[in-house]
Amino acid sequence: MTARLIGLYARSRRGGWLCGVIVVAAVARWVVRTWVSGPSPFAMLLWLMLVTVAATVVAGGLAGPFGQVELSAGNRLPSLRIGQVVGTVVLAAAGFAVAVAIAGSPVVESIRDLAGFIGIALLTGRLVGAHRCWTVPIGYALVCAGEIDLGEQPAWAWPIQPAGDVWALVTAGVLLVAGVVVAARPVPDSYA
Amino acid sequence: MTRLLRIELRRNASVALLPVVALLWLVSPITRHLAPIALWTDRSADIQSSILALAPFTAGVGAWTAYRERRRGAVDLLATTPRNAAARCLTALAATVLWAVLGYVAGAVAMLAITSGQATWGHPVLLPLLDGLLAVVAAAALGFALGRLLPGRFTAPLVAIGLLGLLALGVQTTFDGSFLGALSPAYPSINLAVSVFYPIRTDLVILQIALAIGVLCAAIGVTVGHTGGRRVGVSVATAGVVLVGAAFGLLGTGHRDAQGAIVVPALDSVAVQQPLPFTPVCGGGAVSVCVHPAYAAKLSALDTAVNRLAAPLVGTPGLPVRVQEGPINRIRDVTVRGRPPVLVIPPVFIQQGDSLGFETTAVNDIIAISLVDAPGQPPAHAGATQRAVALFLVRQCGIDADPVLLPADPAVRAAADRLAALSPGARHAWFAAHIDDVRANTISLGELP
Repeated sequence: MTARLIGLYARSRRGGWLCGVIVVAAVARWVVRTWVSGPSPFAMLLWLMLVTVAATVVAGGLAGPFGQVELSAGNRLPSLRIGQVVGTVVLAAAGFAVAVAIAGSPVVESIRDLAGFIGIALLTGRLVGAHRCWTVPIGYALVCAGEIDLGEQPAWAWPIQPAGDVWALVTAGVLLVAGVVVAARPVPDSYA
Repeated sequence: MTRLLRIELRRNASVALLPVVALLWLVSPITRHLAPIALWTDRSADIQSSILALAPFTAGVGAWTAYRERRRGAVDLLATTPRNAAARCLTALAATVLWAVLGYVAGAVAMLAITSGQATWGHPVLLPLLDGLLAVVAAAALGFALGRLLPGRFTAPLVAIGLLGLLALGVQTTFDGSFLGALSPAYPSINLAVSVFYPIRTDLVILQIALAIGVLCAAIGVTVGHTGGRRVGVSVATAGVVLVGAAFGLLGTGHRDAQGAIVVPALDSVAVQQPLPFTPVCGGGAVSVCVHPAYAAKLSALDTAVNRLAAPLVGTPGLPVRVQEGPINRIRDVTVRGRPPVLVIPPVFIQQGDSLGFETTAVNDIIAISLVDAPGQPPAHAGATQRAVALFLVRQCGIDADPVLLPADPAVRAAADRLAALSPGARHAWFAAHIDDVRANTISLGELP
């Protein structure tokens, strides 16, 4: 795989722009640190929206401008897609980890939420198209915030579980792995 | 034009997203708060807050629709059609708005119909409903304008996510003491905790409506200006920006009244509101529990809970003669007042869910602390001895205490265990002799029997 191929692929996905948005979301996490650390449903919703921005960019960024043409042009597309997902996930994880650590919040919990939401966005993108990958994460974030409002903590609402909850950690990890696996397989998903 | 609108309605992305919003609405706290206390004020605010689910998707659809021509490579093709570009754009926006309005109205009608058969107090409050409706329309127009200005594949998701983030940020900053975030249409425009005790102040909802209209005008102005009608667009957008500025400016002159409602002097001449008359409904326990008639359905549960908590203290000096609801909405305001002593609790404690409500633990913890706390002292300031006795009171009801509301280190827990180990007679005798010292916090943890 040549550097030229990787460079062209990154340009076709507007890699620089994607990375920029992820960094902005991480910086925004630091800016709003006062308002995302409370126990209220709106603090959770605000935090999950920042995570959803990164997840949407990771999953939505997989769509390319060439669609079917790209699929027939070579056999390296799965590797390039995995590389893109892994690269953006690592960038998002690093950015949010730094922002959260500086703000003095629990890093593991934040990375768990980020991983899970990226997984959900990737799976949604696979099911309904990359340009609609944001719909389920937003809906899920609203439902989780609603559970806080109701004073409940069901197991399926893993983002609102405490930092040390193993089940929540495993769920988020499984979602991320499942998302990356399905994202590796190319589909004629074009944003054009 | 009608035919064009019909086509836009049929092809709008809302058709696919409205079922998702309906599903969100069905699993939201709004529809899970439908029993047993139904206040019209509460339900009106619930309908307004349904925009949290609807507005982001509407804004996303608006943005998605706005750059559809560019996405499909049809800009040049459509430029050759005789129809005015602004009219074509506004028709697409109108279709998005109509679907959003349909979704909002359907939810509102369902909620009003359910409430009409359940309501225990008040009457429908129309301004919050109108506020929510305008906020949804403004969200569609804002999304559409941003989609025209910044066309791109991430515009729709970022607009939707950004809008929801802004709505949440507004509410959260207001909870944290800021004022300007109260203009977020997701922030309740009615002070729910006191709505049965005092007339409703409409200052905030008027400003929220002004903000929604301002955003709507600004967004339509930008859209029209971007599609060729520059002069009209600039005028409408300027009017919108002025309205938004006026809303923020007026809110900046406001303050909170004694009940916590936002008062803007330019909109409200009533500086001090007179309480609404009502006859409380009281239970028959050893400690009398009285609630506002709107909450009569919860009297039995509250009466049982309070009297179970207070049972070991009955007959001891200083025990509140009555526990009653009052127009307060903060835990730190829950305390014993007056002579003879009366414990005042906020109605929100028993407003939601089954039995005592989802905050059962909080209700029990706060009431237990207040029963052994000094009159006028916030529950959070309770000393170690007071917390130990409160922990005993909660545990003897078979309930686990919340470690945040009723923090208990090992020494406090051990003292509570010692109290529990005493015989009822010995415990009552000790309380009768020393409960005043406990309330005054002049007795140490080690002196508890």
